[in-house]
Amino acid sequence: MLVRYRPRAWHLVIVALIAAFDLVVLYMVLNPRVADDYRAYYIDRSASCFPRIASGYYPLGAPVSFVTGRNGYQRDTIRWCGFMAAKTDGIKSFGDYGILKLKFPVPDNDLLLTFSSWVNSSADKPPRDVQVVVNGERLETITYTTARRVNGRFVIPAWLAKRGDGGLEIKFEVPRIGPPGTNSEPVTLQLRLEALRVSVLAENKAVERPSPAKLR
Amino acid sequence: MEETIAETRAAAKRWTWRIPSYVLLPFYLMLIGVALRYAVYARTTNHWGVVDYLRALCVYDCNAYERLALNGYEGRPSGFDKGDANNWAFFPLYSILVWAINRITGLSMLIGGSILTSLLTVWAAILAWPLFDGKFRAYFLFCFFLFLGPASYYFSTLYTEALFILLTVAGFVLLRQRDYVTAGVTGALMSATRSTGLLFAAAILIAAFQNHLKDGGSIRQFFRELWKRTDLLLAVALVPVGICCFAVYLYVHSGDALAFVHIQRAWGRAFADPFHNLWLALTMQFNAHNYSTISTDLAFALASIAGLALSAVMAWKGKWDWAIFSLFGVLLPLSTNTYSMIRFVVGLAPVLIMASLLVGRWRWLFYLMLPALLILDVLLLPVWTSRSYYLM
Repeated sequence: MLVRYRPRAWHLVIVALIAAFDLVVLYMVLNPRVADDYRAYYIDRSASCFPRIASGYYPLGAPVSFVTGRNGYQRDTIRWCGFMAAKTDGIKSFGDYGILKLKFPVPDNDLLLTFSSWVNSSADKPPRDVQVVVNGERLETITYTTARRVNGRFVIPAWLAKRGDGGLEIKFEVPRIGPPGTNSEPVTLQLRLEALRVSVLAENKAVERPSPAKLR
Repeated sequence: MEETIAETRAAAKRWTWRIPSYVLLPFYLMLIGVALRYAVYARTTNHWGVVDYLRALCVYDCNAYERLALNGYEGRPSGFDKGDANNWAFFPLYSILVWAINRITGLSMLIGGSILTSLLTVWAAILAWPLFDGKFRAYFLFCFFLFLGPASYYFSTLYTEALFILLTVAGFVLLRQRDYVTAGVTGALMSATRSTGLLFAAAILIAAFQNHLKDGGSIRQFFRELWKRTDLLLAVALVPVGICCFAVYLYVHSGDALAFVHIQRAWGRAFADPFHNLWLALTMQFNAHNYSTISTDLAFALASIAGLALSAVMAWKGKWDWAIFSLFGVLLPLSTNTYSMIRFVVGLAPVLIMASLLVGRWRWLFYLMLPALLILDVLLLPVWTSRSYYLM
């Protein structure tokens, strides 16, 4: 049998209170108070990694090992964004880029960047280009054609080193190699770094300088 | 006449001393399940410590809920390999209860939480009895699945499934009793337990509509008088209160009220077309020419299809409130990714109840299912403790 329902005032009072509470929540949802890096990674999704809190401490000239347990591993203070934690085979990139931040008193001389790297590719796959960007300027392109180790050895001009905020921001931009899977993230080439060093060029053997045309 | 009344009173008195089987059954099955799994664990690992056993069961999200109860919500994300995860994705109600048990009894989070989960499941099973319309075989199967089935791990360690199923069952029983406001309060607790709790608001409206039709009302009459139904308005308004309280907390804690959504990026979750995700998961291994195994993606996809199919059966049976709740309870997590779909489907009480009602219709199938569930429970214990992605 159909029962006639009588509206109750106290229901409406509570609904009004909940509605006011919901408005406050809506304001909070629409106005997040977050840092730029958080917004870029989690909200806008314009960044492909979320930066670590890393000191960036780097004694210029010291070799850094990204392999757990090796000499120089304790200098893993420069891994900033887009590289996973160090393991027995080094650090692996994820997303569109991996960034290392090195803080040191920048000298007036040119610097030399050396590193050993691999990618998850092989000879039967198309060549993959990785851009090395220092302090926002494209320094060099490395082409990986096999799964073999590639040693990078590039000169960083003094003016470019000086452009940074008290050190170097070294960014490795990797290409996308597949459409997003079920996790909605694009599949990117994975770069693996085992060791890296930045030193004063004059203290090293002669190396080829990058042509100005390559610096865009 | 006098004699009849006296007899009825005596019968009523006798009844009060008799504990009905739907109360004892879940409790006994829970004890048998715990003892069985402990025995299997001790036999296969040679470890006899009960705490070792509980620790072995506590894998994946269990650790997150335990840490949440211990330390509360974390600061800047830094977890996982990518350094972008923390525990903001985990809803608070369950861990608050574990924390309260710890404070009251002094038991560790692991032991107190495990006991709490088992007892919440027993409570859920007891409350679920009215939803079976007296079909004891189906009810037995439901209880058997919870305590001795292949998903029993979710209902015996620190996971939210037990609490969520308890609240879901309580909510649907209250809707059946037409107590919409209390059902709304239950919905608020659901939305403080899992995001899918929000879907209970739709179930309230649909149940009210169905109850109106059952009482002899018309469709037009329902919508004409809907504005006067302050109880329904309040019930629906109450449901999001749980998730809103969590959002306010996260805003104060992290500056982002939707941090529980945004942090899902660490788990590779982003909103997309759920059917596209389902198709990807279904075809991925075949596109890679893998025909010899069942990948986790395929297993999750099959679980999703089972959930969707059972939702369709609910609709066909006229249980639209269950159907809509379950349908979107599958589609919502599926729209972000297929990971953990087995657990998400098992965590939907109407899905389990409808599956039990279906299987319980045939005696032979019922008797076939019991040993099958039991064998799976025993065989999957080492799979679970070794952190298999399939069961995650």
